[in-house]
Amino acid sequence: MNDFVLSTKYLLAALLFICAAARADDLADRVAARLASYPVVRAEFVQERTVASLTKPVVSTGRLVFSREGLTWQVETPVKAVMTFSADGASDGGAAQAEMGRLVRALVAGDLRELRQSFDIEPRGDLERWTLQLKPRTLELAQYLRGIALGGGQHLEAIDVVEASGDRLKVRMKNFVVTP
Amino acid sequence: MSLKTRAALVLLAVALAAAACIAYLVRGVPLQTNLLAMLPPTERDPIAEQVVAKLAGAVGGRVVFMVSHERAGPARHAAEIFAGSLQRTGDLRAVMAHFGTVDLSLPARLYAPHRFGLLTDEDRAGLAGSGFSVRDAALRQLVLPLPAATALPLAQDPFGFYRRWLASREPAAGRLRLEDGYLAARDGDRLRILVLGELDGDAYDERVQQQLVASVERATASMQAAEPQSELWRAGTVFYAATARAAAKRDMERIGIGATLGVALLVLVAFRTLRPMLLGLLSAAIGILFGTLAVLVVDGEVQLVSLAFGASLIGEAVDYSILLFAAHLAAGAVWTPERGVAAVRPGLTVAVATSLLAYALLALLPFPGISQIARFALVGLAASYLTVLWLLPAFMQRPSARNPEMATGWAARLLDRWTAVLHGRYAPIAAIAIVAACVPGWLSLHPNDDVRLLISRDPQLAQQEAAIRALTGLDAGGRFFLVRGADEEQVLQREALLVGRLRALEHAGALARHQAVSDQVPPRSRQEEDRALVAKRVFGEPKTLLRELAQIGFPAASAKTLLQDFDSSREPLTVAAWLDSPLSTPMRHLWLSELPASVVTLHGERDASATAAITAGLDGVTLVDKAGSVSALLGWYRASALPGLLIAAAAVLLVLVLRYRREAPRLMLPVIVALLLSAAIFGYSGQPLTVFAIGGWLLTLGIGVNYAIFLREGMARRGATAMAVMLSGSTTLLAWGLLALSGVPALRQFGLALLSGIAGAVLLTPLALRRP
Repeated sequence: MNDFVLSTKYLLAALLFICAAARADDLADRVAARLASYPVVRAEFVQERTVASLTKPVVSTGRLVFSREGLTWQVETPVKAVMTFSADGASDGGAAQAEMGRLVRALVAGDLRELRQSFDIEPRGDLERWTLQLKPRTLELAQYLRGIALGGGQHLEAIDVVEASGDRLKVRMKNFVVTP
Repeated sequence: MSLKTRAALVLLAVALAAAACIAYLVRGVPLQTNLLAMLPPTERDPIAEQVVAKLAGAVGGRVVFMVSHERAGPARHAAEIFAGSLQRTGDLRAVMAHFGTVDLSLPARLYAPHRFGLLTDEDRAGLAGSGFSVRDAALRQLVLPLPAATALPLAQDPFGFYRRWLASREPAAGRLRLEDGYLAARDGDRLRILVLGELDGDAYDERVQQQLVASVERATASMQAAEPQSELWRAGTVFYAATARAAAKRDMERIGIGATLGVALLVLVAFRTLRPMLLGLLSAAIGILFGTLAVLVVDGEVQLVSLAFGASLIGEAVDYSILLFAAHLAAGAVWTPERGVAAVRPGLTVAVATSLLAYALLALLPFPGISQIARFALVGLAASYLTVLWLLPAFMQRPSARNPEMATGWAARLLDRWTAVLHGRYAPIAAIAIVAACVPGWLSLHPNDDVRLLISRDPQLAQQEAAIRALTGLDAGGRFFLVRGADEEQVLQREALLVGRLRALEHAGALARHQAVSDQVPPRSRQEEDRALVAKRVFGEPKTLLRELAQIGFPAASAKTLLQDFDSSREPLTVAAWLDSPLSTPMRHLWLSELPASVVTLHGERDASATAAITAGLDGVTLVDKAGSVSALLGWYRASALPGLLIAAAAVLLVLVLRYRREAPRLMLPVIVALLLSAAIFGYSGQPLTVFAIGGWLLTLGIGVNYAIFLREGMARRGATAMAVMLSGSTTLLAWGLLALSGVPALRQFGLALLSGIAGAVLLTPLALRRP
């Protein structure tokens, strides 16, 4: 068994070595493929929102469930709130939520083509420690969004959103549980 | 009056008519291709009819293109080149490929001052419930992973009421998204970009159609020259109308040329000379000339369908000449024009009388198009009849050089043999067997009154339109609600009640979505109630509000500004303000301020009966369904056309009784049996029973009975008469029967009814003769 793991590791390393020569975009593809490979992921999150018109950041905590059906965002403190971004595109909010829903769906489904329609994706690092920098491609998105940074390793661990106004949203996720 | 004077008079009349016709045609042929224009007004309510026309104008003038390419850059480039090329032609009032970026300040400018009276149903319920807390509502805006402020700065909308209201009234635009000002949708491997245009003129105007189709072709060519992989889809009434016009022209040419060539060939075979053919065509042409003139004088415009029927008129008009030529052939050396006319006049007159009677009955139908056809035929056939009696003899002074017996003997022998078969010993048994075989056919006849019978839809265009609809969500059906009231407020209130029920349907999946003014401008009473609710639950205790907002992190100044904003926002939003904003542009046609009334359009209806049922108990709301009304009308005519057919048969019988007394029923026997056989054929072939098939049978009755009359009157020269009947039948089959190939289902039905009916009538004509 150990041998197997070991040989797999070497194999992976070799593959990674070969892939390093390939286009950097491949990292984004492999990250997306990895995130999409988990059937259901549960995690805890801490979110910090910094808004210029508020005197202090708003910190919230809660739990989330990523599944093929979409993302459920369940806030526990300081107020209870639930929001679902479903994979079939149904969302009850306006353009911003629809855009967020598309982003989430694309991540859940590993569909980078969908993401690349709206964003230029700049990957950094390797599959064990990666970040994807998303820059809006269209003027419509750029009207309210400056950029999104996604980061992680085995899982998506960090989301950093910078709005056009300069307001920021920082999300950190931990304690991942993968269930088949 | 001598033969020559009469002929000269006829020629003079023809010259005058031709001059008048040319005078009309020089001003351009007012050809009407909108088949729905054949129909009478369907709505009992004149305002509904007016709104239908206005909406049809607004929708009919729209053209939609989708330019596609595998990559975004070339797709945009192709769309720009296409739109630019189209713009330069000036055929469209406006062409838009690039829509500019949405000015985010526009909604804020129109709605934000009134925002405290604008609530979604969910927020209204939340505020009214006991669980509402200012702190939680404000925090929920901040803890969800969404951009905080897209509609208004956070401090002006800390609870998100306005943001959610604005989002709730954003139309779901299918899969289209704005990308750098282009409305684009990803569709498989291709990126499709929307190009919208607005027609400058009537979509049914031939010149408008031709210019646009040519310009679109040129624009497509230059687009593909620049981006070879690019593709174009198109949708719009104007393209359907243009292809329908082209198809009708093809029908007309096919029927015109096919009938002319076929008739020429038959005449040549029978008479060994084309002279009768040319004179026959002269008589038919004179008929068409007078028919067209009558229609131009009475109606001012020519229906496309009248023209198609007009081409077929050649067939029936030529019948009359054929009878005269057959008499000429049969008379041999003893022919004089006067004697020839005397020989054919009785039969011809009875035949024309029955035909005119049938057409006159058709003219009574209140379909503008059908009564036009009837006028055309009445005047045209009468003119042809007079030409045969007064003009043609002048060209037939010389007797035939052929031996009458040799020329017509074959027809006489054929008639005798066929008559013997029809009157044979086993004929009654065969008749019973045939009737028995017909019964299942009659029983399987089923009615169809669908309005689509009137429309020939190009399958490729229909496919492109369906694809565009799926991508854009631009799938407005023909049905809409008309909401009326005493004033603006009442219209909006009634509409809001309707919209509430429509939302329930949308939730249940019976409807995709709707468009209504009250979604954009809620009734004043609703706005005042909502503002009062906000005043009580949010601003009721200003001190608590300020404290809670401060705890979350709102600076004291911004919270105070919010309170001031609320205090100064007492005026509700009005329709007038909405109409003044550029935001209302795509929906302005929904508001009819002069009545006052509004239109609620329905998109993606999946359950028509559910939509129809929801008006119960709503005042001032009418479901307007033009297509449904037209179908109902067609059904009504179908139902009344059957008794009409019986009345027509009775009328023909009456004419026959006047001349033939007790023999009259026997003369009608062939055509009646032929009609029954035709009905069975419709049943067996799965053709529906429509008002158009019955119309075809009505004409079959008028024409078919002629053959029996000709034969009965012409027994003295049996061979010539039999030949005339066979020739007449064949020419009529060629002329009318070719309609069975038409692309328009209605014409096809008409053609099939005549094809089967006339064929049967010709074959069964000997039944009209007494047993030999």
